[in-house]
Amino acid sequence: MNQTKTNTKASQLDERELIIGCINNDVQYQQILYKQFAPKMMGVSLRYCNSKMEAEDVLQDAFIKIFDKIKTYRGEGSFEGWIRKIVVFTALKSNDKRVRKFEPGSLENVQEQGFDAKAISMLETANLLSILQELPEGYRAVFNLYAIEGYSHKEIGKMLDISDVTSRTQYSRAKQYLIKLLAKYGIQRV
Amino acid sequence: MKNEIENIFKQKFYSFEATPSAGLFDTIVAKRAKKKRAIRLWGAAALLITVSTVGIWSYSTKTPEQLTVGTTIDTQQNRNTPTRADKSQGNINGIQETLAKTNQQNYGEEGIKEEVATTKDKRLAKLEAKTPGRQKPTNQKIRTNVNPKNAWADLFVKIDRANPNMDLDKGALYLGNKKQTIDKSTGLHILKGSKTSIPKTPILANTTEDQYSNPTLTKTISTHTKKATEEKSEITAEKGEDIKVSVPLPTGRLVALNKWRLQTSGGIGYASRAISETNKDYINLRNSTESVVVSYQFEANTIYQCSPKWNIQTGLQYTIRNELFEYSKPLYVTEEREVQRTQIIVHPILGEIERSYVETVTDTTSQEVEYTSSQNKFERVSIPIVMERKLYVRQNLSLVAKVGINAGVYSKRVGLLLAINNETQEYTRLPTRKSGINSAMIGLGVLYSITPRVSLLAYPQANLQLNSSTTSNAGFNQNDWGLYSHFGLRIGL
Repeated sequence: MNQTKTNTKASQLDERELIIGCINNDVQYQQILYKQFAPKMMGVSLRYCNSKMEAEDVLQDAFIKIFDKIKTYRGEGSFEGWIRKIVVFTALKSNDKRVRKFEPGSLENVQEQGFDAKAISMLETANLLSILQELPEGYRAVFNLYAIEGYSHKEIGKMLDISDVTSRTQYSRAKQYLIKLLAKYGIQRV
Repeated sequence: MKNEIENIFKQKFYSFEATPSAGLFDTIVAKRAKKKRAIRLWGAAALLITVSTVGIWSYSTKTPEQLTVGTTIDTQQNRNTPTRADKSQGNINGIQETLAKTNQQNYGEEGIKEEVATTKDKRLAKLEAKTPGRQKPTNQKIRTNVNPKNAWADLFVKIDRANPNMDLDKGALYLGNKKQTIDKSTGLHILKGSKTSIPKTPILANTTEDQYSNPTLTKTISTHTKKATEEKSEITAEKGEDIKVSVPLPTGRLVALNKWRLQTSGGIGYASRAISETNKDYINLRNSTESVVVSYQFEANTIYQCSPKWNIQTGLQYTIRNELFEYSKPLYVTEEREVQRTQIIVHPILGEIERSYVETVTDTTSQEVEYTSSQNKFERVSIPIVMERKLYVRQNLSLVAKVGINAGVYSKRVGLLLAINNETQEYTRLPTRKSGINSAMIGLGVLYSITPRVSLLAYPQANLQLNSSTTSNAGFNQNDWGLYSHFGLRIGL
């Protein structure tokens, strides 16, 4: 009964109402917001973490921050973008607690050009995710931030407390590493 | 083609969704509620501490006017043994009431009539009449150079001098709950063990009234001390002459009641760290690459004197542990060079044939060293909670010892270290604690009192970190320790 009520309410609510409800600490509104964004943000979190359990921890911390800080949302930029940013920052902070390795593996002579793009796109997202999760944490963070989130190397440098040149280098190495991992799945150079 | 991989990943992942476990939202709600409760609890604790501090502060800085409650002059004539209730709830409204009682016993009802009838307003009116143009005193605190403690003591002695039958040795002066000892011969107020630090006060007999003199008391003593002067040889006034005494109203704060001190100090020291790791080679390598350089520590503390010997201190401590990281990695440089060689081949028909050819030779021509160095800096801010005890006092010098803990609130590490794989690594990459690095502290120092309020201190102290500055993910524990020599200043409020 309560579930139906929530779903009905969710469909009727616009973003503004939802935010005001959450600012007022109304658990029902918070639940609607959670249901609306949790799956997408879980997808984001999974990309930065090593396992589902870790990703859920990040998601939990991120939503606590979102509910605590929602009154500071000024309406500048999309609401989803604001939430995504919090999730990304929480994931990075969580990774900070572990050693983020930037050392390259033995990747000599790996070429980044000439891969079968079609074969890659044929791969299931779940497979791609496990490939992404195999990347060392440092590479994964830079790759996620640059290739998927669309941050510039300068912004990444600030976020990870490294220089933008280091970010660029790490990204390049991350890609090389990724290609090597793709080769394991039978995707070879053409 | 180059950006194809990025595009594919972006397409696949930007809108990628996954379902989190059921019940995660309930956990979020529960965690937020718990966090709020914790905030409320801390807020209440902070409020309680603030209120208590303000309460203690205001109690310890009572003005003499407020001291009408809690200030008792007890004489043998009034009672034999002062009780705790008497000390805390003495009801003498200023000195005149005590005088009235004392005089009543010594000189009968008549002697005190005038005095009892006199009110504060009348005294002020008389004062105004005596000194035209004098402004009416307000309730504001009057600050003078007169030591209020001594003023009370002087007054007490005067009572004794004015009342020959009074046995001062069995009397006592209480300021708040604190029993004060009076030196009867000099009229000086003395504290146990600090007799020399009490400045000498001028002899009050025959002095003229100053702007803070109390006409009522002057008159009272003047009227009834004729008899006393004949009997008491200590009084310097001539026989039969009215003794006019100026009794400064105790003004300002009573120093004895203020138990607060401020202390600031800075120190240089020798500080290092201990590493716990099963790989002994790694520890040796770290020890060979990191060396101790001078470190610093600064403290600002508030001190509450619980008793003459014990005090508790808290404030802020800022420590900078410096360390020199030097790592020399052997680097073999190889060089390729071409060598002209000659070979003689013995041919069965042609005989010896000389052949020249060029051969490329790779030589290790030199051995260089890749040198890396860094001035490592570890900063820590912590809140010390310390107990200090006076062990020995001799004149202006005191030997003191302290013991306590430092609760870490912030920590930052900058520099290089050798990682387990023997490669240099930045400290910022090492999973370290930013807060919660706690340490134990012990010290033995000397205090030198320049004045009763101001003391210089020299305080060697040792700090030992109780928990590791690295988290469990680092793979090893690292505990800092340090010996610092502090020099500073302590000021009584």
